[in-house]
Amino acid sequence: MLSLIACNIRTSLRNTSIVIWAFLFPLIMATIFMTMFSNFSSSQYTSGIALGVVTDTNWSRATGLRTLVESLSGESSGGGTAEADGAEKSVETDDEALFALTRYASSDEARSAVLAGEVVAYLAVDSDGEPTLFVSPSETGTTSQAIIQVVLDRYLQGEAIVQDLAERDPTALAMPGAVAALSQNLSGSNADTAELDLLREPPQEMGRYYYALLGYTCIMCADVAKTLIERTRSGASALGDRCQVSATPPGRQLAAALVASWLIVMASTLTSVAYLWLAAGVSFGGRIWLTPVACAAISLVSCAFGALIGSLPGATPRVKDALVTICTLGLSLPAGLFGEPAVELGNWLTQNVPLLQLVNPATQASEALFALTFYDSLVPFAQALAALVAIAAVLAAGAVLCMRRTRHAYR
Amino acid sequence: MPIVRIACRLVREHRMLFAVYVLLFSLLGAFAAGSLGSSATAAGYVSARPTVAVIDRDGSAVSQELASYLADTGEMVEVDDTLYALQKAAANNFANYVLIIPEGYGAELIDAARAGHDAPDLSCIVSYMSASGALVDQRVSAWTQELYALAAASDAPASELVQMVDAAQETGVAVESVPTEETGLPITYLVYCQFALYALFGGIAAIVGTGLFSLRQTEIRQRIGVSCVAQTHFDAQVVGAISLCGMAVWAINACVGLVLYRDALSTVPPLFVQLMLVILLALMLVGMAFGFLVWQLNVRHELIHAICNIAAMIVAFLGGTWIPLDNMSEAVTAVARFTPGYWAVSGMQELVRATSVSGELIASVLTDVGLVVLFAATIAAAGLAVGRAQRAA
Repeated sequence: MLSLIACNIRTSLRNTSIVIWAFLFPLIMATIFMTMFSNFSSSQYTSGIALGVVTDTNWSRATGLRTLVESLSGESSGGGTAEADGAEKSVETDDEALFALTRYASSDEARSAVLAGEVVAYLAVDSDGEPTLFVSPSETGTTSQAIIQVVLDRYLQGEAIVQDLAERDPTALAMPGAVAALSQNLSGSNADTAELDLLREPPQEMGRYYYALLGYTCIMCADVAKTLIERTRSGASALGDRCQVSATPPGRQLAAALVASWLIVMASTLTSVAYLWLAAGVSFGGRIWLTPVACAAISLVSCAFGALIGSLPGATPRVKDALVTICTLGLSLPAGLFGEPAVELGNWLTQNVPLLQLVNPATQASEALFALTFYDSLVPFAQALAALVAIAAVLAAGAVLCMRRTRHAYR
Repeated sequence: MPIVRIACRLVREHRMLFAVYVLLFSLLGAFAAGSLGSSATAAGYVSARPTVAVIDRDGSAVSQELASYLADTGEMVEVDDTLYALQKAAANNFANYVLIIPEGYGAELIDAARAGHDAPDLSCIVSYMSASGALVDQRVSAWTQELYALAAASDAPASELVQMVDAAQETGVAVESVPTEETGLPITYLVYCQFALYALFGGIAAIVGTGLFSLRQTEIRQRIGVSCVAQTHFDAQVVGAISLCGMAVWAINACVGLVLYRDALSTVPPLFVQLMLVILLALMLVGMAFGFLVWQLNVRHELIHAICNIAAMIVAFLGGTWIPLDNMSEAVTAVARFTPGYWAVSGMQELVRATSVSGELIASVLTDVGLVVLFAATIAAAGLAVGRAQRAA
């Protein structure tokens, strides 16, 4: 038995396809992710939002609005007035300021700039002192535009509140200095929020791809068990025919193939996890010692899936290859490997069709390591492992049905 | 044209690859475009609506009105008031922002304002989409600060103060879209075409490399070598077969796109759509050239998929298909300029931002197309050189 397992491992590791897909591909993808997301930031729009203003005489007269916008641009008070000649980038700005202000002498210049994508929006004030925000029709509804809108809304609502209070409760503003106090409170920050940090590790948008990659590896490694099962099954390959008539019982051959494939996939997933931990800096929530347990369950599912595909009666090797490819792509999609839309699809399925995510081995493989990293409780991790084992049991049962004793009657 | 017929038959036998690479990625692109929602395609301005969850432990008029305000300005998501549910929401970005209103918050805010103290803090949890979280945080802070200011100035009951804050929300800055002569291509179609990059580059290369693999086998080459087909004719016919394969993938992808987005595309100048199809055609040439190079390299069958997929993933990433390049570092953007995907997507984005049909726009897009074609020519030349070197060996 041991020599059979060793033989299967040796022949598998001589197979270029298995070495590439099970060992090299995850490492290459992880390296690509690491390189590309090295300085990735999803929070860049929270500062330095490119805002244009038309610095005509109306802008000069709108003192309150101008002061607000310039202060949020980190400029010293009183800087930048209507004498700006053409598009002029503001100077003396703070890198952490909410707005990066660009002044335009006319609406035409500002319009050209917003259409060219140089600024996310531009602000113009009409002769009545009413501000209007102009956005490009091809890029409307962005978060940056909404943040500018909230700031301007708050300024205008302050004026409306003073007027409303004066009408509803004149005595409230009758005292000297009451209006000034109200204005000061409206622009203050006395009712604020405090951000809670609940997760074991700070969440990162790009971190999702590493976990999804492990889910992808789980399904892709089914190729190992599929190949080894094909080699031991009668009718699946010429080698399989020869093996079936050998002295070793078929059951023992199948068991050796499955154990060998489990060991190879285990080595593959452990290598990927180790690479992510050591090179990509994925901490796994300080629970790296639990990752082999997850890898064991992932390998189990991978082998059961590969065994089922490898034993499908009547399917040619080309169809089986295509099945592995389609399943790898299709099941990895809800795990979130293919960019933001895939992540959104995964989230939508988790919230609306959780059963579909529960039976998806790629999702559960990602979820097991994801839960390990972020959640305090180990219950979600255990649930993902249980789901993986259950999926493996069902797939294995299917494989057993396909692999049961077959009578090859002569016709 | 016997070789063309043989090559086409070989490619036809790998029709499953068309299903995987062309249809699957076309549908993935369509889904990705669909996930953008209506705000990206609407003619008028619609403010960003992040996903928000509110855990109201107070239940006062203040907390209920604050929750109602957030429901008006965002997409509400249900999150249970348990540690695991909150952690899951934050880690998975189920909600961009979770607001926790503590018990007694409404009364304490009013009391603090009237006593001249700062109000107690509201708790919030921001997911990794911190920009959307910052937007909601600004909205929450603005609303509570207005209530605080009113409570400090007036002795009116909380319900009346809340009504005044709500009334104030109707005031806001006017937001208008800049009027333009023409409307550019819709963002949804751009996303679909960006995803086509994978099918047109990696898909064509994998189909060509795998489909024509047997034509590289020694026995077959020897049989062709002793036949009456000259080497140049053989090469020309293989190129013809690769072209047919590329055109088939391009046509399938283009037709799926035109059918899916026919309504949105009917409102834009046909020239923009035609230019987009030209960009996709240039990408098809790159895919064909890369497939030709892979075929000439005569790599093992199992390596073809690996090379094509890894190359396509890199080109798609560097083209900004899956993650916008704006979010990446300057070094990555600099490297991206040396890939065809970057220039193709650059041309596509010009067509989305286009405001009129102008010679300047056409010239700019065709320049991007020219650069993509140059990449194709360079890769094809490398393929020819590899083939010549192998024949010489």
